[in-house]
Amino acid sequence: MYPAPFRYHRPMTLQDALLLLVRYAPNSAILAGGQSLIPLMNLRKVRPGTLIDIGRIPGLSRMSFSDGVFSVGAMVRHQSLCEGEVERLGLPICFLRVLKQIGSQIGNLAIRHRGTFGGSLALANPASQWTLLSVLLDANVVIASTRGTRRQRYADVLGPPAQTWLGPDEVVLGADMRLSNLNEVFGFAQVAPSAGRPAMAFSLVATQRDDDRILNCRIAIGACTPRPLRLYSLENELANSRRAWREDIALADIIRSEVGHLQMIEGTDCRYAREIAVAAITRALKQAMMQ
Amino acid sequence: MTTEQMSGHISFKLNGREQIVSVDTRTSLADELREQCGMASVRVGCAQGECGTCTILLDGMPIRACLLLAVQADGAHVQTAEALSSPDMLARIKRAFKKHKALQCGYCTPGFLVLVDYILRRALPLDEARHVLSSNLCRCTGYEPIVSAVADLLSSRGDELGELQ
Amino acid sequence: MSFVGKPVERVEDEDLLSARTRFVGALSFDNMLHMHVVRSPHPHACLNAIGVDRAKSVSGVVAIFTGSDTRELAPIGFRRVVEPELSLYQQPVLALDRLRYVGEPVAIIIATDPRIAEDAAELVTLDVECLPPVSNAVAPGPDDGLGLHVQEAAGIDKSYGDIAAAFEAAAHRFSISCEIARQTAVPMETRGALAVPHGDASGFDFYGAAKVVHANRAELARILCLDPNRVVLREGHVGGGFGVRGELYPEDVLVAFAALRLQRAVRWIEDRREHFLATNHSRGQVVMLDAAVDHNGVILGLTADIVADQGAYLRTHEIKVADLSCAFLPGPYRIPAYRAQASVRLTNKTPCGTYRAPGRFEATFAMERMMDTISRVLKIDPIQVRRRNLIPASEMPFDRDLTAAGKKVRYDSGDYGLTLDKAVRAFDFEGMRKSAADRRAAGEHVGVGLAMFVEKSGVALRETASLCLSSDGSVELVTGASSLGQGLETVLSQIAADSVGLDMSDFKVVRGQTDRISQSGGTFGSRATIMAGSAVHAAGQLFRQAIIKRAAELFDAAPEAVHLQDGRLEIAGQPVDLSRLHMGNGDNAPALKIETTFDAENVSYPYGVHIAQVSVDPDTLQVRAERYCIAYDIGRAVNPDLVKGQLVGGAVQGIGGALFEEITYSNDGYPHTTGLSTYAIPKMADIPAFDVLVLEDWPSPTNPLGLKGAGEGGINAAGAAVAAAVEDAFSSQLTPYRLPMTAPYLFKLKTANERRRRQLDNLSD
Repeated sequence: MYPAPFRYHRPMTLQDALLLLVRYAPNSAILAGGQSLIPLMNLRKVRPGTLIDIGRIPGLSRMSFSDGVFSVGAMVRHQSLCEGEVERLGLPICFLRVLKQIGSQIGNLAIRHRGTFGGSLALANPASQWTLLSVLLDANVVIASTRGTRRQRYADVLGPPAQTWLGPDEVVLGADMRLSNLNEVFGFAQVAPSAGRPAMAFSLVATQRDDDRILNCRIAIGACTPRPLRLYSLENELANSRRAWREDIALADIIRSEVGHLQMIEGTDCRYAREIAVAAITRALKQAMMQ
Repeated sequence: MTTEQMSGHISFKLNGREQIVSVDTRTSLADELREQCGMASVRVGCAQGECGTCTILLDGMPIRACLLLAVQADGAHVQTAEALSSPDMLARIKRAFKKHKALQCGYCTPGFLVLVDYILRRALPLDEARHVLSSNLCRCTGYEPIVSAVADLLSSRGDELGELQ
Repeated sequence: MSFVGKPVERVEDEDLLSARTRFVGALSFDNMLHMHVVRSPHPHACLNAIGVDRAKSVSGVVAIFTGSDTRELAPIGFRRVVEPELSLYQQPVLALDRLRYVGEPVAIIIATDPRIAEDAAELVTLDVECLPPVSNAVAPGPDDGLGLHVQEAAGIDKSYGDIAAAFEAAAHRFSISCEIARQTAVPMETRGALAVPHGDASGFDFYGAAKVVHANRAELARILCLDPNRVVLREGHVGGGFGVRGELYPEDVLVAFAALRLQRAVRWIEDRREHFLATNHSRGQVVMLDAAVDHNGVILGLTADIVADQGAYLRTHEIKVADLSCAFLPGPYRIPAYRAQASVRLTNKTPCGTYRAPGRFEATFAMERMMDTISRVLKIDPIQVRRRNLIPASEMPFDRDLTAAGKKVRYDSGDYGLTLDKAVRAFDFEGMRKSAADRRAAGEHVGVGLAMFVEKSGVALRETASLCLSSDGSVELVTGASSLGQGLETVLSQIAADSVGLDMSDFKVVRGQTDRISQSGGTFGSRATIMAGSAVHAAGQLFRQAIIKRAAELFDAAPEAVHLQDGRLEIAGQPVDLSRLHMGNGDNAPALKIETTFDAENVSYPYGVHIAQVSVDPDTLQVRAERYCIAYDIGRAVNPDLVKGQLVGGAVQGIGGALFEEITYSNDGYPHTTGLSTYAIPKMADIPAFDVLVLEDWPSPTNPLGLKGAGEGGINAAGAAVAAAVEDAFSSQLTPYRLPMTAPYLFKLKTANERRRRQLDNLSD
């Protein structure tokens, strides 16, 4: 279980990294955290001829929160979004709490010390929690290449399962997400075969509420779908009905009906996948409304 | 660093001692530590980051040595279960594992010792400690005696602190 | 001071914790080469040709061998003597003209570096004609349309009593069909082998050995046409076995073959993906039971029909697993009439072998599901229905009138009813049930289930051990048995210390080296403590006499004046260091050594009760094990903590088998489960709280210390107990008959249930 041979580069500047990526295209790959790439290389499922380690390039691990925008650099490790500096950015408490909740369910501690936010976005594994967050909050991803830097809505970057529309010469530098309303409450729920295993379904909810009524809400589902999705018609249904929050059969029926229209990820038992999608959404909503 | 020839020189600290080695780019840190540096505690269980047998400390943090290329360890401080973060920590944790019979075949044990070192340094509460320990797989013990050993260590640490006051 | 019976700390731990270890992955020899196995990517194909030229030209590749090089080697045989026709299904060490499972060894590449060997492997070309694979052991339905038939390698038929009469007389008849998915052991260390040839190619040293070193030595010597005395198997540290490691595999033969041919040390370390393709699978049975029952729930007769998916070849344990299922299905119950038939079928999958409580994990699941079915339908309490069927203590020793792997089954000792009572009381089973019922009333899905079982231990009834005084006064204890992590050295030291009169620390244990002792049955079937322990005990008693005699002679004292107790030797009141006895009266004095062979009367049969408490998430149908209780009569516990360690470790493996673990293949024969992400073994977050009661009410009469084995008592009834608990969690509205009870499976059951209910409602309208 050894990878195929490769050249290894550890450039000290972003420009060098981008030039190397082009020079050795199409068989070059970025090494960020390595927690997804190296397992694939060990199985020889991928065989980059050149690895470009961006781990020592300064400036890729920045995090900031200003003017309501939360920016996360590509090399920010998962664990750094669970504890430490992230707690001192002035993020709204409810959002910080859900960030930790989501982050702590990624892999395990050892994986979280190395795996990166940018790596998650670039690989777009359906069970990746940060892609769910980026879709819910309409994040813009910052992409660099030798042709310059551009920004694109992350939801538009997502392609077929575990693929993106990023070019082979492009590197994710980070993402920005706007926390639109500081009174927003968040809820997250994940269904996995047991603790510490990849999610089979997860849901992230951000909602404004008036007492026990949902005002505006954003709801995203993922892991059971080929890519994370916003559930716009469910959001409208719940907001328009101005219903009082109650976890009852009527709510379950509404959610089930919405989920019934979704394309589930291939290879799963569709009926079961829809059930757990309903469970994840319900629990995420409940957590948000009980804040 | 650029390794056109598929290999390169790195220097890193291993259990406090400086190492300068020439490594193949393909060599994982796990294999380098075991085969070149003589660290018999660093073993590979899956080469996929799923079992945690290869867990070591990199700059004080538990990581999967099978998912780090040896070349990436350049300039880092690596600590393995032969030493952990200090001789005192190693002695205490070994004593607890023996007392609670927290090992059977011993193959996965070094990875757990590293996690326990981290847990004690951070003085995590037991439920968080269990969450951290769930990172690693064991097939012999059923985990229960490992939990007992860690609970014992966490509570006796509290006793020690109490005595200091 | 007595060591036997005390939960002393393990002598193995200091070395293991200090990484003073010798796992095969860390062993290296000068000039050593590395082997990589090229494996079949196809489940079923005709192999026409193998192209190795490009691979051979890779720098660093020293040799490549294919089936044409190993054609003359006899295939690996069976460990016991069976019908000659079964040898038709043995596996050639490298494929000849057919590929029969994904992972089958096709060629080996020997290179200076394992990475280079793997690079070269990708350049090997296979000229094949793919054939449709057989992936379903149960016969395809009449509309299958593929023209395939499943090949039966062997049929097994065991019976006693008058079945026809039993069914005639029955007030009730119950039929259930149970399925246990294909599962495997997953030790944390993958396999490995390292052969170091002797100078003249007449033999070799073999590292990475485990489990049954003497049997494997004999077999390797036979296959490679060598004098067995020139083949030395050396066990170092071993990272778990559970039945699958240590049987002889093609890779073991191939490593030795390559080393002998190339006259250089050759090492092979299995990677985890290979492990899932190439190391024995197990379980994989469909068990159909038919019970004839009277009004009181007493079983008058039972028939069992088993289909076992054996995979592509018969390995060292041939059809034994299915045989054991047949023999042990009746378990602790009387069952006056019984017939079991098993069909061992070949499919294009990884071959199967023994995995902890082989055949018995499956059998207990089926039998206990039947007991629970009877209990539910006849509305008899599950404890009552078992009590009414248990073999009473007055009938011990109990002749089952069946053979298991060729040997008559005779339960040696036990009082099953007593152990059931003790378990029910000690764990407050009724309290647990009441508490679960209360929680169900409050809306939770919580259930409690109980299962009983009989295990077997101490097979292969001969074992040799030796004790020898060293010059420093320590005693070298030599056993051919293996340690797979269970603490063998500790228990043998405890037994030796007591029988000789020394301290545990006086002993240095040598294990698993074929050149240090002439015979051993090895470690399997929970035999090591019983057999090696009994041999050590016998040797110890003789050794003690020899010490006393030598001391008396040397110091010109009467034997009565020699006292040997608690590790202290005193002659006529004077303390004497043992090392003084080492050379006797001069350089030519014989070593103070005893080697003795112990023969057990029979196999012994430990038994017990498992109780599981689970809660099920009503929306996701995920099961969480909350509590697990085990009561187990081991006859006599040498080290109660080590017994508990075996029971808890086995139970967690069993919980994995009950809830998560399943090896699956696509319909066209490609394996899905090739790693730890797809084959889900339990993590720490999955374990329940444990209560273990180790009982010593019924020592075994088959050996002087009264010992029975612990190795498989934790896993045996786990599937059954957890299934009963899951059923209880749904107040018997859901009745699982399949393992593992994954959430999607329970969801299917629940949906089918709801559909049936709706149909019934419609009918009644």
